[in-house]
Amino acid sequence: MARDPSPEDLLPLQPAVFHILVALADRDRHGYSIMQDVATRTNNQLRMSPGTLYGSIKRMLAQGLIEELRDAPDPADDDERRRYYRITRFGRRVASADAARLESVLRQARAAGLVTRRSE
Amino acid sequence: MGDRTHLWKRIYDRLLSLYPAEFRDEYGKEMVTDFDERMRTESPLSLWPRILVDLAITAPKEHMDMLMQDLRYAYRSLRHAPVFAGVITLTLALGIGANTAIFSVVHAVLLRGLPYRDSAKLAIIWSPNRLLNIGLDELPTSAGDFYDWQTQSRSFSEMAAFRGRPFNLSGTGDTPIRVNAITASGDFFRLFGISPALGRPFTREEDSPGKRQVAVLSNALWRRQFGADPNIIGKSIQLNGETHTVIGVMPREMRFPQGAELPAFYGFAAQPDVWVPFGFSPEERRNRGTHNILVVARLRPDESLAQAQSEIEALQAHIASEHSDGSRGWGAHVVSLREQSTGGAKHTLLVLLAAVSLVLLIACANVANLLLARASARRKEIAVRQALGASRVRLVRQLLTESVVLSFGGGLAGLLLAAGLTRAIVLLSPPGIPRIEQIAINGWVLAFSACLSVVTGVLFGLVPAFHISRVAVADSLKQGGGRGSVSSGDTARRLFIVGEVTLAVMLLIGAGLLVRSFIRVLGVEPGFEPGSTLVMEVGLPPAKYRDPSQQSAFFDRALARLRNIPGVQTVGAVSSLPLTNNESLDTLSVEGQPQRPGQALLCDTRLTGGAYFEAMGIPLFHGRLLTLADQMNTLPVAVVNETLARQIFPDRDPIGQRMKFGDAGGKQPWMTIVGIVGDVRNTSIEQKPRPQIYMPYHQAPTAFLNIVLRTAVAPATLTGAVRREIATLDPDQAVANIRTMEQVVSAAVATRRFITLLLTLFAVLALLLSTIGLYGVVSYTVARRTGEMGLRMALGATRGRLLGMIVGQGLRLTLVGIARGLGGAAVLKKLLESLLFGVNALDPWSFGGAILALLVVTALGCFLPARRAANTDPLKALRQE
Repeated sequence: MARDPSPEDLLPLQPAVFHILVALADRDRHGYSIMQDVATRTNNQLRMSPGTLYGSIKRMLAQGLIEELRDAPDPADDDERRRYYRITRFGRRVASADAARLESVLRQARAAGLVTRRSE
Repeated sequence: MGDRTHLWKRIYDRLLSLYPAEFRDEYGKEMVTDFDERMRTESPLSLWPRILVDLAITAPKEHMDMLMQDLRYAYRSLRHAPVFAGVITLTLALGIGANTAIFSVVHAVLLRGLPYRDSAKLAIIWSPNRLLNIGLDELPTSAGDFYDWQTQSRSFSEMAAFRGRPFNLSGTGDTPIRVNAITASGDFFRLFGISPALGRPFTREEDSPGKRQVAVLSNALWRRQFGADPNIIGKSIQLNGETHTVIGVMPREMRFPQGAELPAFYGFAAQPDVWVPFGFSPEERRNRGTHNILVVARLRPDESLAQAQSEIEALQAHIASEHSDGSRGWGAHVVSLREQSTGGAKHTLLVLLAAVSLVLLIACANVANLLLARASARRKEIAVRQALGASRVRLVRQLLTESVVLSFGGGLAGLLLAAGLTRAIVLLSPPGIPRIEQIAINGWVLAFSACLSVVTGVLFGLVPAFHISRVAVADSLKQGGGRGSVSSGDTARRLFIVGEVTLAVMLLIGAGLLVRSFIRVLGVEPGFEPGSTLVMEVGLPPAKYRDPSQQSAFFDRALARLRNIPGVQTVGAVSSLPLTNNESLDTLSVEGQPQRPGQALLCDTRLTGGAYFEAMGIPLFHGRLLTLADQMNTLPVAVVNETLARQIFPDRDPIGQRMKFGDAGGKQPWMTIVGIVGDVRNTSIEQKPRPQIYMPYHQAPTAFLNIVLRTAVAPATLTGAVRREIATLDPDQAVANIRTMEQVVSAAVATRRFITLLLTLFAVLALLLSTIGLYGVVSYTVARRTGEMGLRMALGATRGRLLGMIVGQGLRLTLVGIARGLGGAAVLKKLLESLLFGVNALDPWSFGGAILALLVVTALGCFLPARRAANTDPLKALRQE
């Protein structure tokens, strides 16, 4: 199969996909943990519903952005019902490419005077 | 609380079944766990709306995703098998295309509503007469009865009467033309609820003697004859020599009555050209003796056909008792206009629809067989996918997607085919199919063929899909995807072949019966010689030729002039031509033979003049023919046909016997029989001639005659000369419908030719498809048994024996199919009985022919692969194994 598409092929990412990648960037997580992380980071502004979350996960697995782990990263944390996901190297490249794209968009917006306060 | 959480969880679990099974299997458990967690932190009121919205958006998306994936996979796998895909597409295109074409006809003719306001409520009211005993209910009404119905019936909100008459239209160009006029009562247009494109319809007030000279033009006549003149309203036209004012032009959809909507023997033209009011005098309105108008009516909204029928029946019984002189015996019979207008074509179309669906079933069976064969070849691929975790549902769905993709390909190609076929059907179609000009590939037809594609896709895909997905993983992988043992697939394949042959036998027998009937029909002696005969219609306008002697004088002069045209041998005239489904029926009394009550003697009367019998080639058996010497003031005479002579005078010489129309004591004059001529098929080729009487037109003058020329040259070449001669007599006189008698005969068998042709086409298609099917199966089996063949040959089997064995196996399937098909032919018998002529529904020739055709063609289909197998080198075959 023809794999290894360049990261740019997938840009711009769907917001849900981007947030899932960000959530997995620091550690491996299961679905519910991803959902919680995204909610916390966005001050509850983005609350992913299950269909969106697992639909995105399904497509991201197919695209090679993330992979499923055989065992739980922390044995103590192991929950029979849970499946854990990890960001792939390709996933990282795609996420940073999209982040760079967003940054440049933000820069342009700022130059145009659309952003009044510097966001943290 | 815990209970409630449990309940919510269960509901959510149930809702997850909206997702595709694969998605649910993969993530369902986790989704429920997540839901459980969220229930702890969020209130159901805020959680549920979001969950439901999410479900509504993502479930269809996942399904779509799955479908796209299946489609991509199907496309990829079919691209690798172009021949396979091509053969299937073509097979399906033939099946779906033929069905779509026939459906487009059925839709236009049977299904689509009539273009009038609330057309389901329109009905025709006939006047059957039980005293006449002629086996026909669709008889016209008298003006007296009609006006009584109109004023007294409560079941109908509106009622109108009409009749058709040819009119001469002159003063619009150089040559006068004959137009198909409808004279009608004042309410005619209001009843249909169609407003004119220009001007206004005529009114009730204009339906009276002094005011009736107004005309409403059909859209076609307005365009054809008046160049779509927008200022036509108020202009004058000459109809039958009388000035009429054009008051309206109808829109295109107003075409009532079309010839094909009413019984053919009324002789209505295909489409009306102009409508004018009856203009009956008070005396004419009271006439109960002449039944010559038809009644169309609109049921009240809350009234059913049955209610209206019983009401009008009672009303008519009352009228008949009050007017026992004129209305005695006449009843009333209500038929919905829709039923009436499709009655004739319905059966033909249903037979064709049945035939064409059998063809589609055969095509489906064929394709299913091809898919089964391919399925066996794909065992390994399927097993691998199963091993990788694809569920059975997923595999079946994948395979079904593939077959639906194929059937859509077939459907698209079929649509192209249908477009061509539909055009051919319209061109070939016989007169008598109403609204045939409206046949089109429209939205309904597209929807039909799309549905058909999906249904056939599932139909032929289902068995192979289930079959293949049942293959055990381990088994297949062990076999290495090679040749398996005899499996359930083989059984299915055989069943399909047997089914195909069964259907093909039925179609072939049906076609055989129709072809044999057609041959019989062509072999019928019509009683005249149609070759070298030119015929035309001449209708004199009563306004100009008011006096009967003027009418006869015109025809005398016309016949004399036409006889002098070089190339013309003899000339005659007759009130209606043979084979045109036109009869003028009268009751007859014979001198010295008291009439038995309830047994009216019915005969078909024709007025003739000139050398009609010679011109038409009707032989004289006895006595003399009618001559110019038989005039108004001489002895009333008649020539009768053989059937009349045999039926009424079985034991004495008819010559010199006297008969009269109506009762023996009536006012009609006695006619003396002077000659006996051969029987002529007047209504149709199929119908046996009834007693016929020919009278000289001098003794019963008429304004309308068909002129018949027997020619020494090609008849069609004389058309111009005929028109010129008539024009020198009367420049305003139209000559209509000039054609050869051969054309008349051909039109008389057109319906039969049409259905025979199409059914034969479908039968041949069925034969072809099932042979291809058998060929495919035998080739496949032979290929799989190469090793066995090699072994048999190595053990001493001769080529001839191998050949015989393989062909024998194929033929055995054919024979089983034939046996079943013969049983199925019993169903056919019912369907086709009314279409058969001179052929028994169990006609051995049709049955034998069908069986022989199938055996020969399928034997060939088996022989080709068998020969290939028998030619294999045993060593090679064994090595391969």
